[in-house]
Amino acid sequence: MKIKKHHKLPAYPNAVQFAASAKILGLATVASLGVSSALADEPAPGDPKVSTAVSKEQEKPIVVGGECDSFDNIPDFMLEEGIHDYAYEQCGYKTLKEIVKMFYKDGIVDAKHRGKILPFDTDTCCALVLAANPALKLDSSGKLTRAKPDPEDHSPISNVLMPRVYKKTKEIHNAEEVEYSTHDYQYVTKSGDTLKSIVASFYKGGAAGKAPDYKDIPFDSDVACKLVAAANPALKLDSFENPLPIGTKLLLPKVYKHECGH
Amino acid sequence: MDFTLCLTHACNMRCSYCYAVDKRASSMTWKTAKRAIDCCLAETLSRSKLRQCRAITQLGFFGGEPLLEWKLLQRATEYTEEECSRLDILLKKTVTTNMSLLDEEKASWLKDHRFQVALSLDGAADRHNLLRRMADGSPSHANCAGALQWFRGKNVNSEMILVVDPHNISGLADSVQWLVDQEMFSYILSPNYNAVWSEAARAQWQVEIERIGIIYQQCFRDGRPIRIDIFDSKIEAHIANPLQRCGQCSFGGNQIAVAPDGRFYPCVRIVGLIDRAGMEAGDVSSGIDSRRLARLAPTGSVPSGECNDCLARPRCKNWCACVNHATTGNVDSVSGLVCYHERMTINIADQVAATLFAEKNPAFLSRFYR
Repeated sequence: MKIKKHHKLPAYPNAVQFAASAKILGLATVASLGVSSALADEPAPGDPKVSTAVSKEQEKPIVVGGECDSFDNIPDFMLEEGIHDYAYEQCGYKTLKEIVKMFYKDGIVDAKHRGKILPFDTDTCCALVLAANPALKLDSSGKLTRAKPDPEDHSPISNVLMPRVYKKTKEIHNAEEVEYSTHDYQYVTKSGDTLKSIVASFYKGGAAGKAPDYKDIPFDSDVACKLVAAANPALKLDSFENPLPIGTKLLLPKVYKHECGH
Repeated sequence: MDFTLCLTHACNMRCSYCYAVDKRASSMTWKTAKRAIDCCLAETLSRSKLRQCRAITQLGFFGGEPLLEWKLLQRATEYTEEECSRLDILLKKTVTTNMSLLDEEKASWLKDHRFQVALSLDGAADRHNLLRRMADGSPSHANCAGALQWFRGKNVNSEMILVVDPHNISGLADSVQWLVDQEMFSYILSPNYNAVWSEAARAQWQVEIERIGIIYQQCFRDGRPIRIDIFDSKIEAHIANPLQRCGQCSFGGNQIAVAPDGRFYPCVRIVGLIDRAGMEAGDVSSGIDSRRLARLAPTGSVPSGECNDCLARPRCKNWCACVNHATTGNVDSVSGLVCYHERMTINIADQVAATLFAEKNPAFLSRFYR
């Protein structure tokens, strides 16, 4: 028998579409289904687009998390939507490193900040956050400033997008478990592969053809290389450009991007 | 790290489609079981520390027929429970049984110890007895079905496993209906991918799955919704997250199967093969060979090439390394039959879900849009 392709889209909505159109359909409100009130209060009228729903979500920091085994009350779609849909309202005096440490390590901003399980070191996390916020840059003290400052705008920077990446398990039902992971893709190096060439082929053009879903990784090549290096702590890289031994098994981060308009 | 102890190769039944062809009377010793448990819990702790998350493990029992080694199963369970309590590891437990050795006492013990019990039964007697025979060749239904009484209802953590084979495909839906009438709640329809599926058998397969779709819908309408893996996993994957792979296992990753002789393998399915050469990943003496285990894992390249642009890909079971290995000899290659099955079930699951959604069925909305 031959492999054939399936071309039919389901005729029922996914959770995000459903959340956006719940009131229109006359179904239960989104809030009663356990989705955040920010989304429930203002469903996108007649337009159940994912991007709309997510941009509403970004108006308030919506954070979910907890221990590895306590995902029960989290709407599933919120777990999956991307690395950029955490909005952190900056307090004005924090350096990026402090924010990153609060967000990903100690979780003291809010106990619900699930980002604390991010499996990268602080510097890599900072690179991730910066890459996720192209409108921002760091000043010499490490504080976040606007990349193109407006002399008339002295408002504090808000809505710093925090990468959402996982290394967790989630209980679906019964004992079935699905692992949400940043590291799920494995790549076995071939002759002449360098980390940079792998990253370029995997995330940009998708030439490796391994995972076209992930080619839209929104970081530049060096940051993406850092991500891969962080995901492979057992691998010592002398440079991103030098060929890797043939047959090296690399874990490639599984990260997603949203059209979030930020 | 989840681990499954294959307590014995022996089985008191001879189901014609069983992939576990090694049926030697060879069982695990307590010493081996204990060392395997110690290895796997140590690995669990090590991995959770690396990931900075709570240590979770699942202890499974498989065979052969694991209930042939009931005392060992009990001892291994109680030891694992004590160790997990001491080490602060969250423990889940599963057992897969042909039901023939279950009695009220065993069922009660499994429930008390919060096992998820997978019960292999092909439905009503006529269909079940076609391919599921006792070792002496006699019909087995009478020995097995009596145990259903202890696992009825949605509050009991059990699931029915029905093997789907070209020789028993006719009447599959009737069997599901029979089990629904017995108040069983959760179903796994497990295709025998190694069988030869003629065009006629495949056509009948589709008819039966469509009929099961109607039963599934009716159960939702009656307010007593059931779970059927081929529908729930596909619907859930679409609704919750198109990027969430359906029921994905972790061949070469976060799971290990322990053979009766103490060798480690990436999947229980491998343990039942006669020729397991090259699939070992350590043993209870040397420990889990994580590098070897990772090398056995699929590269993740399955969906490329021929599967590109397939809309079913995120919901397809093409990831199942042991099925791929069994059907194509390569953990990364998908067989045409798997592709056929996945497209068929996704189509029918989507039809079923679209109908229930259009009806605004409360049980459906509650389960999938909660």
